Amino acid sequence: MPKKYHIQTKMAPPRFAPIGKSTILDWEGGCLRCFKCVKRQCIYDVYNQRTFDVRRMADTIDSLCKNCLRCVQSCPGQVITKVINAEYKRLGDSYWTPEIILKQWYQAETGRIPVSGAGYGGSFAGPGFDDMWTDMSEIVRPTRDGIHGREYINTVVDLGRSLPCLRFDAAGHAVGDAPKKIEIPVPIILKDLPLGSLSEGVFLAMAEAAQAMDTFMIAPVKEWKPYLEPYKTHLIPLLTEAEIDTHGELIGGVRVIEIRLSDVTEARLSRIRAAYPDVLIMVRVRLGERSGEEALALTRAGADILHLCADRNGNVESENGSRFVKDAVRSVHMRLVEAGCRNEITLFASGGIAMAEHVAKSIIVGADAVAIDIPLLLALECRLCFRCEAGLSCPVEVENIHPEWGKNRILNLIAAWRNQLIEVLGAMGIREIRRLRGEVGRAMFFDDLERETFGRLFGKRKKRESVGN
Amino acid sequence: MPPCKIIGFCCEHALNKEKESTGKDWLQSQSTVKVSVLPCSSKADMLALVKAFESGADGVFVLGCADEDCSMVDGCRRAAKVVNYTRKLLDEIGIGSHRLEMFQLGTPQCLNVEQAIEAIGNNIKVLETEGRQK
Repeated sequence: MPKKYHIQTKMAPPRFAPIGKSTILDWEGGCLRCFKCVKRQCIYDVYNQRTFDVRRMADTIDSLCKNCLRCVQSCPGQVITKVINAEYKRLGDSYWTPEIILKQWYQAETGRIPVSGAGYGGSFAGPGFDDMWTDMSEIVRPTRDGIHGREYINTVVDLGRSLPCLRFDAAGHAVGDAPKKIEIPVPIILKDLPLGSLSEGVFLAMAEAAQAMDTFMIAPVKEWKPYLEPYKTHLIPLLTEAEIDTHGELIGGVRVIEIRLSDVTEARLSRIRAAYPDVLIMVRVRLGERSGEEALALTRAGADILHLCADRNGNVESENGSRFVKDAVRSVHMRLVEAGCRNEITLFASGGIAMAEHVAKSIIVGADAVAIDIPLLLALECRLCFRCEAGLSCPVEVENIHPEWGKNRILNLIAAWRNQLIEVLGAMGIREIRRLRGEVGRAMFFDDLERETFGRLFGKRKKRESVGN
Repeated sequence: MPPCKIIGFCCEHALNKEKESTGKDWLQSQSTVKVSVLPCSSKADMLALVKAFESGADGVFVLGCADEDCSMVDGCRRAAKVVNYTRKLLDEIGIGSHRLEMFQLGTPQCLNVEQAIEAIGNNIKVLETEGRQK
């Protein structure tokens, strides 16, 4: 039996005490000085373990408490209260919610799937990816051997072009060479970070993680330093068309390059391909009104991979208002399907991918794989306070991380995401991630259902505000 | 002289009121003060205040709401009591009680956060000038 792909996880505790969802207010003023104080009876012993973190200027009990509320209920003086932590509420923004951030921190620390307990208190549909429900019909029939056992669910994706069909000569031999392809064992690559206090440690952590997972990391050429040379086979330099000529030696040794779209034409792509025949060419396309046509033109022009980018909250601005990344990717995918060339090219989606389920949903709407950025920062303990964008200091000193620790955190996060992806595939009864691509029949879209069911009665729903605004 | 190090324990409701009145998030734009955001100013207990000085702060302030605006009803009064008690301790150990102040946003003594920081900064300057003269 061939060896299974496995991402090695290792506990990577946070450098700063994490921010808990709730905090304790214990006013000593009303304390009755009971002989058996409820704080001593805490079954998790958090009152004895609590310390004061001077770097955060906060009590560490917030991250230790399990919210059983035993002390709150039992205190005869009623001096202990639990309230939502003020710092928790200030994490992230309306898209990157505190709940998402805490879950990514947990996964990056442990490499385990976060379990929220029995019952679900949230709504059944919402904006963005929450408007999509995936098929879980096979969850009632778990496999005898378990999805993590002998039964193997494949998460390998191919990067590069495919032939539309095979051609044979008169003697029955295949005509022409098969296009170059690269396999990555997880449908995730690490994208260049849009913000953050970036340093050598951060780039090394990302590059080492990409190498350990045998996937890729996108590195803009201006961030390209000699310390990244050993990881070159797992790096994708991000260049403008003009930089290709000036960075020839940098491209030597890499397997994929990414070009920012600036009217990339067939002639130009042919010139680049002639200069670097062994390199796959990925083109970054900013999703918009015309991205379907641009994708089609690039596919016909000979690009190997298209990287469809939305903004960091997954919004795609266009003349007709804002769309979410999943809808924009779906329309690009459908345009290529209609033109009969979808199988010829690989599509990456990025922007707004915040959780493991978003990877599966992006693939269902037509992407082959995804590129993630902000979740990587979250793995490195970022709190998404956006102070770095204003040139202010980072409260968790992301720039001072040790590369080994950063690598472990990223590996833990992606391992947890991959395990969730396998769970989703197992629940759908799919054994191969490549079969999930474009399988919209295995998902339901709330907006479509609502329109079909209630649209006839109540007309068109007022347009939702864009996600994260 | 290097800039003094100030640590603030701020009630989130007070900061929200500041944001409403000025239209901008003070916390996001400032880099001079190390701030711990609390659900109520009464969360700043004596240990937190002393630890702030132990970590090298020149001055510490607690920012709460006005008494009648406190979301926890009497959280500000409790915080003021803790601050007053800690100030006595600071005097006893020779650090100086003026290095610790409690401000209640919306009262004439503190109309905005900048005013609170300026006041604590002035206190530190006075103490340091006195110290040099001695």
